[in-house]
Amino acid sequence: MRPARFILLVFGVLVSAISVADEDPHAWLADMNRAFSELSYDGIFTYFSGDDLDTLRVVHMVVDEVQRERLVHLNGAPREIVRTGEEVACILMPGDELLELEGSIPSGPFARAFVRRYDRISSSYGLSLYGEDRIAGRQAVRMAVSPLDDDRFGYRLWLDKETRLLLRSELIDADGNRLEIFQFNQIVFGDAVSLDALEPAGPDGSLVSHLTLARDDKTPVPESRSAWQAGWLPAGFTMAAADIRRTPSSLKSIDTMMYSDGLAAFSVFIEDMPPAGAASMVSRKGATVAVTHLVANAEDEHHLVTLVGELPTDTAQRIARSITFRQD
Amino acid sequence: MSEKLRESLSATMDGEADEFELRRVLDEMQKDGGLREVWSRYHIAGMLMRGERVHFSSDIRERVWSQLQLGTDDEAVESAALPAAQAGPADGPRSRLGRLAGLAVAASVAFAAVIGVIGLWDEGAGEPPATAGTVTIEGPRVSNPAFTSEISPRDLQRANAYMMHHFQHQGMNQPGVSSFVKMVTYERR
Repeated sequence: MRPARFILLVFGVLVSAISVADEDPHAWLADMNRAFSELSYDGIFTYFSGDDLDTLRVVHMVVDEVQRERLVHLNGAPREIVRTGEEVACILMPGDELLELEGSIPSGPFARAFVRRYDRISSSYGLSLYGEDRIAGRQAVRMAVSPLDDDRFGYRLWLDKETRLLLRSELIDADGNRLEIFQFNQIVFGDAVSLDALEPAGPDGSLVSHLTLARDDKTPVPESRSAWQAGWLPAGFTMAAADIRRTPSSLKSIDTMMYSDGLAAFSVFIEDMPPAGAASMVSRKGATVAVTHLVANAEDEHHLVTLVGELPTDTAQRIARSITFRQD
Repeated sequence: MSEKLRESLSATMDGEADEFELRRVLDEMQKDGGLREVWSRYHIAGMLMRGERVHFSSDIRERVWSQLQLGTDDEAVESAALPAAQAGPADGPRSRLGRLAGLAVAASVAFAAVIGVIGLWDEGAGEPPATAGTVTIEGPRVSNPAFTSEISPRDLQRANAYMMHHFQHQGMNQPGVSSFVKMVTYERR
């Protein structure tokens, strides 16, 4: 290589490195969020969690100012999620193990929760842009989202340089293990996305179940009205939603509370102690941990606390242990 | 152990066994303690290969095993509303099909117990363990008789249901691909 060309090459690399490093990572995150909800895209991605690898297709479009999205499971059980605005339909085959769970999942519209608040995350995570890479044939900018303590996981993000859509993400624990990987293999944008691709294509005989988001007038219960509280929360976590729900199979009510630090979220469910008893246990799938714990209310009646979230095990246990009945 | 049985066992591990293979494996396991050992070893080897922590007392294995043996126990059938319904009215829960559905559910739940659950933790301990990532597995101090040191299919069902609820709630509240991915890719094992 002739020296002049070498110098030009080095100069080019420096310029591109400087241009990325100079930009505000918070602005990139905000753009990523906008890209997810405003762009038209149709892509195939792989998702690795725990020890499972899955392939899915996602189609997203804004039609008449309403967001429409379709998510199709391409491996294993045929499953589709079709979203139109705030209505979500899940299309499954009879016999799907997801259906089995429905009877025990608290029913009703989901409370609104501002889970992702990128403006809040600087107190809990350090953000930095660090170079470029190529994902799904497209140029991507890499971002590190590093937790400032051991009570949450970190992320590595690859954002499309042109549209800023998330092309790849890795969720990593304190030891640098990758607990979840999400990556587009192929993606098209804009006019290349057809409206037909949003039409559900569930096989004959498939079943549909609906999920809805609560209307604005049904605002979630403010924290002070919830009968339970967490005595200890990792710095930066605040309550994003609280609700009292019932399971379809019984009249039993379940207090639910959702907390977020702007990026990571966990939910707490409190129910009467089941007559059959319960075990205090810890289970984990990929980044998601579930812990159960026993707690008593003012009348000394035992309740069962189940905490589910994307948290380190020790942190989840410590929060679950700190849940108490509100004494006021 | 016959080659055929070994194949069935391996298919069961991979979740690829048909109901008759599963039934044969379960029947053989009921008779043969050695086969149960092989079953445990396969799972523990798998977990180690995947770099997961293995903390199992023989007590939990026994408990999981007893759930398998029960097969048609009320809890397993009740927690599996759908397979039970698929089995049809026939002649009650003890019908052949009903029993099969119950077994399949008990088995898959039991496999989840072995794969997903890190362990029991000590309710009595005041402070969380100092060492990161360590989970206590000694039986909890039982201050309430309803609180057990045994993990039942019902406990796993509950944990899975809440996990699903968490994913759905997050999915409803986030733009983009979101947590629905976790819901769509949900598998018990």
